Amino acid sequence: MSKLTLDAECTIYQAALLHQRCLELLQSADVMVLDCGQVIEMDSSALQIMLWLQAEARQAGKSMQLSNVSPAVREMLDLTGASLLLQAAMAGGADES
Amino acid sequence: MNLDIAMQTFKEESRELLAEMESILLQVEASEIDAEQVNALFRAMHTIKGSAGLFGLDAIVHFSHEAENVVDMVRSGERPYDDELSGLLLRCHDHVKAMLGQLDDAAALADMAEPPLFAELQAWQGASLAVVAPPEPVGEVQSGVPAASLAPDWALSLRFGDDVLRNGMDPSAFLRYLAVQGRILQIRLISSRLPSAEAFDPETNYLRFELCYRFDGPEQSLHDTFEFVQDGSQIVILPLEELAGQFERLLQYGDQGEQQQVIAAWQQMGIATGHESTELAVPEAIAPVVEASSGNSEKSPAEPRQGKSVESKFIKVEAGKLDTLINLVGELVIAGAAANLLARRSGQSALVESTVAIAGLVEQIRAGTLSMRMVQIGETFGRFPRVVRDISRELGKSISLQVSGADTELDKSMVDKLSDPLMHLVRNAIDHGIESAGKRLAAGKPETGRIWLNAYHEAGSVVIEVADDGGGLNREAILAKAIANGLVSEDSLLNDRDIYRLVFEAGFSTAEQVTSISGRGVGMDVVRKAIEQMRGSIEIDVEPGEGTTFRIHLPLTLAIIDGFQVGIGSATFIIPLDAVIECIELPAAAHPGQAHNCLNLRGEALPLLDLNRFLELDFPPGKRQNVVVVRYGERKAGLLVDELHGEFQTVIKPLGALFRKLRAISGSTILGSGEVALILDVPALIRHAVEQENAISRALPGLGVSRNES
Repeated sequence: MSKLTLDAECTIYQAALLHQRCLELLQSADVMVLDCGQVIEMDSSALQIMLWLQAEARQAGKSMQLSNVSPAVREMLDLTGASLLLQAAMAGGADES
Repeated sequence: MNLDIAMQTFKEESRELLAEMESILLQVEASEIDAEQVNALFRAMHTIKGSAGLFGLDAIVHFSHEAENVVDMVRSGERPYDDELSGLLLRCHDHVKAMLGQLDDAAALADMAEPPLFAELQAWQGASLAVVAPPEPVGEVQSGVPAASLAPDWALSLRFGDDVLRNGMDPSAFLRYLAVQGRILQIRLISSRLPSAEAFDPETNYLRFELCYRFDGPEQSLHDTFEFVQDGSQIVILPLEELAGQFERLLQYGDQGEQQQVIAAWQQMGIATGHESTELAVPEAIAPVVEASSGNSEKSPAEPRQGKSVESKFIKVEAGKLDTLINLVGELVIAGAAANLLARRSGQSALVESTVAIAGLVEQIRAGTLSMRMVQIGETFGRFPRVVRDISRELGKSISLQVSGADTELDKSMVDKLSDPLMHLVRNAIDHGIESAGKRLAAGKPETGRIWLNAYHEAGSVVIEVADDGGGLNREAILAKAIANGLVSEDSLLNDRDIYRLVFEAGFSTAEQVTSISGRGVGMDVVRKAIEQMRGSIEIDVEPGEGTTFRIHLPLTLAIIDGFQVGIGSATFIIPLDAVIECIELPAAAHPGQAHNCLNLRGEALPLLDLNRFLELDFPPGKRQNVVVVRYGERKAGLLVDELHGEFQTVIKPLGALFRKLRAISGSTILGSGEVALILDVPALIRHAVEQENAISRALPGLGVSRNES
């Protein structure tokens, strides 16, 4: 299991870097965890990177989860309805589909 | 956000919308209007209203709202579209345009909020209510009358464009704003646009949201929320109860996978859409985070509406960036010429070959870059159907306009400058060119006059013609008028062409009756000056009784020209190649510097200008001297130089402010050797040569002709 700890700021300005790190994570691990504990600011770009990583993981038969969800991330997931999509990952169970 | 930039965007967008509106209004006189066009009309007024609201331009909001209502009635089928309405909307278009021109003057703008036209718009709607209301007294459907309900629910489909993130806008910020303004009852995120693996670009937006929203403000303020992301985004806002009837609008974008997700999303929210999802449920479907609403899904009859369609094939680029690029290409041309020169001096053939190859590529880049500044002249031509229609009606003439070559491309800066001169020529053609119906019939011509606007490329220049099939310029009237105005003397012998050219002199008008449209004696000289400023020329062809053609020649571009390089002493000058007719060796018999300022060129008196003396270069005269015969318009002159170096691709560098008043120099350029060469201003030189020649003729009466026989 590999863990990636997200920075405090996850916005469009860091999107390229975050994407790069996620891409490396995806190539190196089968079980991925994004630690959101430190995130205090997040925008749609980070959200869609999470969604993208989850979709990629599923495609490759791997798993991706969010852990340590901070209030900022929670608010974003609830606001956008993404909690419906990322919830399974947060609960810890890898989706086997 | 920088408000100035936003304002600029607003102005530009409004201008485009108005232009689209106008072209539709003018087109539909010939053809039936279709739903798409009505939508475009609606969108124009609606978007301008919305954007104006953001800037607090209440006068524009107030007026365009009324115009929008009128179009909306057509859109909903309450009223047919007819000529009367078309005229009304054209005037609305004019008024909004006028208001946009007054943005800086708040007081004037406020005064324009309710012009007489405003009452007409209201009256039109009133009339329509009176017509439509009685026949259906108690229908179960109350169309057009919004049902007053408390905090109605809305269906929002927010398909944000690819670029919103890059443009500094965050879709989640819109959701947060919505959550503050009203209440998001349910929301579903549609992520099917997310591409896989490599195709994913972290700065492109792929997210779409479908939501049920409770909001008791006006619908317009919902639309306004998304005003700034409208471009490229597909935003649909509907009362929830109309969703089922208009669900197609949510499905017109995206691939099948996306459409299925959208259907599934609404199904999950428990709202009937009239569509069944083929996916039974989204795998992650879990209890919604927010409360479910009992969506009212009563079907209502609804006309198909369309949102903003057809994504643009064009990229807007700031003009400044393009200019920088063109400047750089200019530098590249110069640097290339320098490299080529060095290579040739070195005598290494391989090196010369490769610099030639590079020069070829640079040439292509130059052409490509310059073509980016090119726009189709159709943009300018587009105004004229309206002008012809309005003016011909005002004058009671029947005139049809035929436009061809609207796709001819021209430098953008020229297109802008060309607009007014063309307008003048067209107005003149309508007013003076085309005769009255009675005269036409008497002359055996069809009653309907014709005006042609024609553009085409010809040998490195663009030609624009404004032609009419009217009576043709009246040679005698022009001559009489010119004599009366003292432009020419009574006994002067002028050929037809010279006489027709007189109309371009200042203070000239042949119209016996001054109308409001033309004939005030200002104009044609302004037209000529405007064309000359663009380094162009204008000529007239007249077929008496058959019509007149004004032909404008313009250079293709303003930045880089083909030049002809000449040497005087050790200095180098560039003459625009277009202006050069021929080069001859100075006849031994002619000795400049004496009274001889004229040359006999095959029996024609050619004013001669000794550049060495004129420019006060004070070089000793060269062993052999040459004359470059240049032409501008109808005038010719000979420029006396030492050496002829031949053609040279010239990047025009403007001169600094200090030299702006110089008459004989139009710019500078840098030669391959790194030296600066000045570009000669041919029109100014010719003028000077002719004046000088005239002055001598006056000083030496009686010698006028014989002097030339040297």
